[in-house]
Amino acid sequence: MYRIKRQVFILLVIVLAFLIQTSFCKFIPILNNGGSLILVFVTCFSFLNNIEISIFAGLIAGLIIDVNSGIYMGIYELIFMYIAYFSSKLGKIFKNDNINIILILIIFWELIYNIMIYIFTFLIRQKYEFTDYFFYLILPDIVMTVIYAVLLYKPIIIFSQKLKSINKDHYVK
Amino acid sequence: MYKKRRNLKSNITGKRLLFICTIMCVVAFAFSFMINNSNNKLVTYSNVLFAPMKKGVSLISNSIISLSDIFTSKTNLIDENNKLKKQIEDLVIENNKLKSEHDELVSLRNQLSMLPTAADEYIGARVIGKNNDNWFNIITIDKGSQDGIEIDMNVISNGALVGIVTSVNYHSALVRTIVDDLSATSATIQEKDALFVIEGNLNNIRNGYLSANNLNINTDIKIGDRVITSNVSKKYLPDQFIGYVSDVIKNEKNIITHLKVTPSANFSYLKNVMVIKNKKGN
Repeated sequence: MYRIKRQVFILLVIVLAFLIQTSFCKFIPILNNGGSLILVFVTCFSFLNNIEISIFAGLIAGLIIDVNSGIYMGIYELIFMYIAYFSSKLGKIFKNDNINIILILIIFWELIYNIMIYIFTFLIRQKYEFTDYFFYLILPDIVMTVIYAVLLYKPIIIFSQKLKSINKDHYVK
Repeated sequence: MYKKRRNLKSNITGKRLLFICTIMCVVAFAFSFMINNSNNKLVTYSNVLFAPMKKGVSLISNSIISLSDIFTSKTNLIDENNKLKKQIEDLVIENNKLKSEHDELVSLRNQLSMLPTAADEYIGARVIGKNNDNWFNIITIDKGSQDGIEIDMNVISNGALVGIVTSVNYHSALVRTIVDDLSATSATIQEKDALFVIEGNLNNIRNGYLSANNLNINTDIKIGDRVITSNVSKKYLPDQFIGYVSDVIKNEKNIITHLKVTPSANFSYLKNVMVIKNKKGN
């Protein structure tokens, strides 16, 4: 039962992040420049947790975006699942919750994520103005995401510690 | 020792889990590629849950924006009031003119025993969400199939074309706006003989215009001409107002090659839209 409880909490947080990102930030003038709350959550959470639960978080995040974007299923699941997997792997290597590593990781994922969108939806339609896209779309997105990461890093640590304590309670019983 | 073994075990299952999930995703992608995504039950049911949540969150953001509007300065309001008063005067004059012309039209139609064209029916909707990244301009509205919305219905805001419905759920629908990079709208100039395709382009729309490229038009088009949707469009209803011509680029033989069109709808602050019930082809 404790496992399901953890999954439900993760689901709720990702849904909340998605709602804030698409229905709140996009309507507020300064915040509508971009920034991905879901990416911040998935990366930070995976960095601090084991691989199975990270893959679950990545899958859920991708599923929620796919279900709401109305395009094809499966693409965002794959992207976020691999982001979660490799973040979790790196988290194991570094072992400490150092924010610098997480920030570098988030910038790296943002770059990969945006360049993939560029390649698969723009480059294949022969749109070659990558520098314009980079300076006006990708860069603001990265800056906003880094700001979100700095702000949300501590709450996510607390959240994942709370989740782990749910796990421990089970063993005590 | 125990910890190490446990780590090893979790590593193996992690890789296996990743492998299984990857295959699942690929299969899901293949399935959704083959079947029409609008029939996807998972999408439909989950949107029943998501639509009210999005509505609630967008209400909060709207109320925050309207709160900040309260603090706009008094001089701005006075300026705007004067502008609007002048606009009303202009509109009253135009309305009187149109009324007399309408009476004439009705009488002429009666003489010819022609049926009047069916008036458009509208469904009002609120914008409750936008795309989750910067690359696309897709909006979510709070009306769906339960309210009579169907795919390919045209969406307008303040009389100007916004976009087209691309997918419908029970209580929400997705609208691809005409400024989206994948959009192409067949258009013409009001009362002039010209036919061209307006393409959304992320780099152009940042500077506030849509563009029509690779043209070969010999008609006299001026800056400020009204751009409307054309009759030949497959999905857009004819004579929907799009915006005004903001720039005309000609080649050395005086033939127009490029047009810049400023869309009239304000895409960055869309709050309420109207969906036209009539569809092209009906």
